[in-house]
Amino acid sequence: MITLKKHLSKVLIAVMFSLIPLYPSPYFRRTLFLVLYFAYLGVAWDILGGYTGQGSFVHAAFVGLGAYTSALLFIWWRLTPYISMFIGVLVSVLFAALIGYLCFRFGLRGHFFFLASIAFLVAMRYSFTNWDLVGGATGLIIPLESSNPWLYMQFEGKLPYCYIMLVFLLIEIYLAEKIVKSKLGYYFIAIKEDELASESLGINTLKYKLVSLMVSAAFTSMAGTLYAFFVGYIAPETVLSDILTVQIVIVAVLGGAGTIYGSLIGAFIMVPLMEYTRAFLGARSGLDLIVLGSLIILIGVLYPHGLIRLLEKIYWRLRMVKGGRNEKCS
Amino acid sequence: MKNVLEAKNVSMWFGGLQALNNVSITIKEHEIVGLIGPNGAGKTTLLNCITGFYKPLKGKVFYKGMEVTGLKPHKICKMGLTKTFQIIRAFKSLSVLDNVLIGALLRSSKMDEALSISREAIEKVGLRGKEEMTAGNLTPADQRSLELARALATKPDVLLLDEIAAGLNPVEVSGLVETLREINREGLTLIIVEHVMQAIMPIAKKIVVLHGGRKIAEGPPEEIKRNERVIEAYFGEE
Repeated sequence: MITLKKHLSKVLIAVMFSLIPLYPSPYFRRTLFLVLYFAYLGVAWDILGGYTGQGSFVHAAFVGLGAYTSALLFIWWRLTPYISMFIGVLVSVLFAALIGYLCFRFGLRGHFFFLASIAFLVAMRYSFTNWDLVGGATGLIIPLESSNPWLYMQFEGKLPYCYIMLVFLLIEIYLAEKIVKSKLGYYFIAIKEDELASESLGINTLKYKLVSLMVSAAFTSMAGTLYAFFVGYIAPETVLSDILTVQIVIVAVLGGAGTIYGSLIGAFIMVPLMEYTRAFLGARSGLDLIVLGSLIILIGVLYPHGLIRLLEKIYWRLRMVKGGRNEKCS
Repeated sequence: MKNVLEAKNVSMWFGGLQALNNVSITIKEHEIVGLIGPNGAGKTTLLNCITGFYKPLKGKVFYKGMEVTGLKPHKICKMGLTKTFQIIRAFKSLSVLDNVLIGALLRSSKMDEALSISREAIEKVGLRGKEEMTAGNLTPADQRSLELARALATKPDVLLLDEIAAGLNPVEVSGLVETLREINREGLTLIIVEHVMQAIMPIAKKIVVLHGGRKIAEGPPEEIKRNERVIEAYFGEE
């Protein structure tokens, strides 16, 4: 009964979500795509940063690798993104394994892993900027191929992209929940809590940190492919930028790290805020960023464990008022 | 009885400080061995050298006849040899059950099987009824028990306990001693580090005394109590 109820609410939420994109405004749909995109990226980041406790700044590199791999394969051989995204995943996972081994093998953790991961992202961005094969600083334009929109993921409006992103997000959440409830998830959390104690319980911390990074990279990379085909144009500035990583981290951490659903809340609040502050306050350059920055600080001070705590509070309030039962209040 | 654990001429330095100097010990199956010594004697260092948290700079460690010197702790744990920590290292934000479950998952990836191993271990250390409590909210004594349960859930053959009675009151200590006896009766070999002699004397069949990184005495408790070098180490020279 309880499980039925739980699934029912999930189905209802999914149905509600799937109705939202029907609101007929291209700008609204674009924003919605970005919300779903960042929610997806936040969940992927959360597996490594939130659950395993290895905050990473390199994640834009996986977006970039996914985007570039698919874009190049499309330009060269018109390979459908549905296949090339998996090749992108492979590239990203290999790159993740390389940097993960370099960092974790030598015991970089916490802030030091964070710093090292910045270096990898910046190095990749500059090498792509100076690499003619991948378009250098000008980037790559994905040529229009209108013969078969579904095969080449090239649609006229933004609506189909919203649905594709939504489907990916739902699949990702489903898989992420599976992972965190399995042995893998418990081991990730153990590593976050205490690495020495984890070792004493037979957990190969190096291996599981690498696994966590690789899983996170694999999810992230797919979003890169989807983004490339959504925008039709990629450059180091857009898919390999430090700003992108900052946005991913903001969505995951302000939403609530280590919770999966926190990223959804983070994205639904942060992305529209970013978009609409720019739209309404962008005329006076910099004002939007000041407002946005202030809000981020405010949320960080009021809800250091993420906005998901706020929702939990409201949820328990409502339950107590509605049922009048003695529910546990957090 | 067979030797289950053997450290041969283990030496360890931290910078210029020699923490262990040529220490050799031999542990037989199903024994309870007490490892005592004043602060800074090298007890914890020896445990860490045995369980792989440190790689000894000289000497070798054998477990069940296999050399384990320098293997990673998780590998050694998988072979059935693990330790608890001097400083409480429970996963403080997780529930008691989840803490123990993480240990149990080493032997079984199936959740229901791991859960039943966990409940068994929790029962054994007397934490039943506290499964859903957050580890950080337990009393220090219960956190020690939790660490014990967590280590037991990995199904070790040899368990090294580092000052597990530290910070416990006499009633809690005697409860713990009972638990340890029970665990030992079920076949586990125990090595118990203590610097409070009273806690270890009643249950240990053999005592090893470290002082200044050297082994200064080894033998049954009654003998150790009378050993002049041990008395000297604890109370100073006349």
